[in-house]
Amino acid sequence: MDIQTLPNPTSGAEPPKPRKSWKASAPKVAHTLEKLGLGFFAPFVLLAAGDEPTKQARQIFLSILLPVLAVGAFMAFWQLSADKVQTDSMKIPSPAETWTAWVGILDFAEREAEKEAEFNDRMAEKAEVWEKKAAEAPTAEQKERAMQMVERFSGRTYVGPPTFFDQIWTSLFTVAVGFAIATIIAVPVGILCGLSKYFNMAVNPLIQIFKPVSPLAWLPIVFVFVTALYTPAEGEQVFTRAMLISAGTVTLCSLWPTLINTAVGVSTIDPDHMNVARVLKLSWWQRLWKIVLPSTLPLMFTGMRLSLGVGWMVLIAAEMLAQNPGLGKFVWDTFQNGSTNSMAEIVCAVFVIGIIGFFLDRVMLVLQRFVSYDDQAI
Amino acid sequence: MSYLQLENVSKGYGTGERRTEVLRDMNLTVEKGEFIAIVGFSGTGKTTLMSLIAGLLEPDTGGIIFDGKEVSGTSSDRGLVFQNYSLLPWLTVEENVSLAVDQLYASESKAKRRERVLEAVEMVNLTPALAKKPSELSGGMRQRTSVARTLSTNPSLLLLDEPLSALDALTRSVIQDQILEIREKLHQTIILITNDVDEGLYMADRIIPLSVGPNATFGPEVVVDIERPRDRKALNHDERYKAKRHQIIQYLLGQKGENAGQSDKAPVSLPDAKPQDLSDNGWSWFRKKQAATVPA
Repeated sequence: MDIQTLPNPTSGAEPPKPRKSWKASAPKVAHTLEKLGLGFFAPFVLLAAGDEPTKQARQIFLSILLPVLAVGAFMAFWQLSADKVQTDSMKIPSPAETWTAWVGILDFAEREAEKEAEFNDRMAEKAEVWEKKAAEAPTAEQKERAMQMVERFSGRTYVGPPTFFDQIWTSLFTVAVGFAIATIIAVPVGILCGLSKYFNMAVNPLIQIFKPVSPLAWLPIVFVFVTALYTPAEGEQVFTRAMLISAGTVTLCSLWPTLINTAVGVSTIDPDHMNVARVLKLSWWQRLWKIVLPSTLPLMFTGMRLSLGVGWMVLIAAEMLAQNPGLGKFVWDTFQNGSTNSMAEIVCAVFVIGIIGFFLDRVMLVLQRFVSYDDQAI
Repeated sequence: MSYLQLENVSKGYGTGERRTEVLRDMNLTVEKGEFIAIVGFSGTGKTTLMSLIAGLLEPDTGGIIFDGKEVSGTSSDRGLVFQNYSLLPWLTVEENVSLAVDQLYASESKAKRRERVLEAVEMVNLTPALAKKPSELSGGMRQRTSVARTLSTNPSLLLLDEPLSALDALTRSVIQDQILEIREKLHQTIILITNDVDEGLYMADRIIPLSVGPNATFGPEVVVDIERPRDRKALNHDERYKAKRHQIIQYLLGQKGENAGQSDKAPVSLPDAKPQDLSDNGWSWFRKKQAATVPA
């Protein structure tokens, strides 16, 4: 049987190419969104492209309706408990009070930013005045003194109380330092554990014992280490002792998931891949870089994702105790402060901590999906 | 002196009471340019035999002499095509082949090495899939990539370890012809392991059956003196072909019968497991509870 060809209206000439519609690439866009951890938006894109509209509409309906129902139930419970749960000095704030406190936090940050801008303007002005004086100074001695004044004013920074957003940055920076150190230690040790049965036997008891230790138990030990070994330079703002103690505690607690997952990843490499390496006579380094590391990456990143989650949780506790000016200190200070809207501010902090933790997890998930070659990360 | 020679090769795993002799007293001589097929049931030690010749394993007794030298360790002269492709899933077809070329021809220029890669990929007709990852390829294409990787190192002995057993019949015949074409061009010596007697008869010069393990050894060989190129369709009606096919199958079936009662292991009872309902639409936890309370 012959395949019937369609009659070509413009016979002789090139058949007109169908215009490539953006709709054709919609599934690809949806896939990319899913890969970026934004799978929530995928049905919208597909719906706009007219790809199975009823299915997409149902998906959107469910993905909006169900969370809205759950959040609504939670808000109702919150509102009810806000009226009932009280002590002499504190009470659970209602959602409305929490919102007011959040607006207050924003206002305070804005005022501080204004004050800082004002302060900087004033200092710049003063520096300018002295610069002029220096230019007009008759003697070298006076000129030098004027230049000193210029330096003094232009070098001044505003010293106000840290705003909520300063504290968020401090926390993020601290967790990043702790997590970076943890990764730098955990990955090589994990690889060694996976590669060498004997090394694994040797260090396994240490790993098993230290893994479940609470951050609160590590903190005093880290405190002693940091205080004994580290003296910050005068005026050091970033790497303070409190910050290093917090970061060190984060390191000790977030080390383990990465270490264990890396070790498991290395030790469960497909033996066929190792046979390929042997047939091709790859050297030890080549095996490590071309076979071991790439095939371990997905599990390693799963471990790192778990580690960062643990690190962020541990950080808040560590900051409370070490008095590192981050979110943990904010929560503790506000609690100790005990003013009427303290609890509302703490609830704000709880939400912010949760949202940042969620965001960090998403970032790691995206990284994890990009390094995994089988697209199976969940 | 023959090209490849196995002398009283034995190999077993484990020690003491739990030791299993897989291969026993294997003797084989292969001449340069020959195409040998080794057929046998699964689990008879075919892959062990291949690993021995490739140098991935050392024989317990006896020795293997290849090209006048005793085999010890792997060598690029003996190219092994793995049964399950063994491609690195994070590399593209080109990168997978480059891995072999860059290692063996490290001293050559980048352009020359790339040329070798392209040449090997072209030989298996995979040039359009150069930039694809193994997960984007069909089983046949994966195996062709694996063949290309092995060919890229110009081995004079090609060891094919059941390369086509996981493929469908149609793809299988295509790749069989491709391998024969490559052999016409490059004249390698080939040892093919297979569980398909027809595949062996179609491709090889000699077929050697393997007895059922443990303690597997070679059975009587069958010389396939049917002229090349062989016609797949005509072969089915060729009396010589039929006779040889019958001969090998009789040997293999006889082996199976002889060894049927040989296993000293107690029969394993299968767990009494019921299939799980995986059609989860979010309410299965609820339905399952219901099902448990309502008697059937």
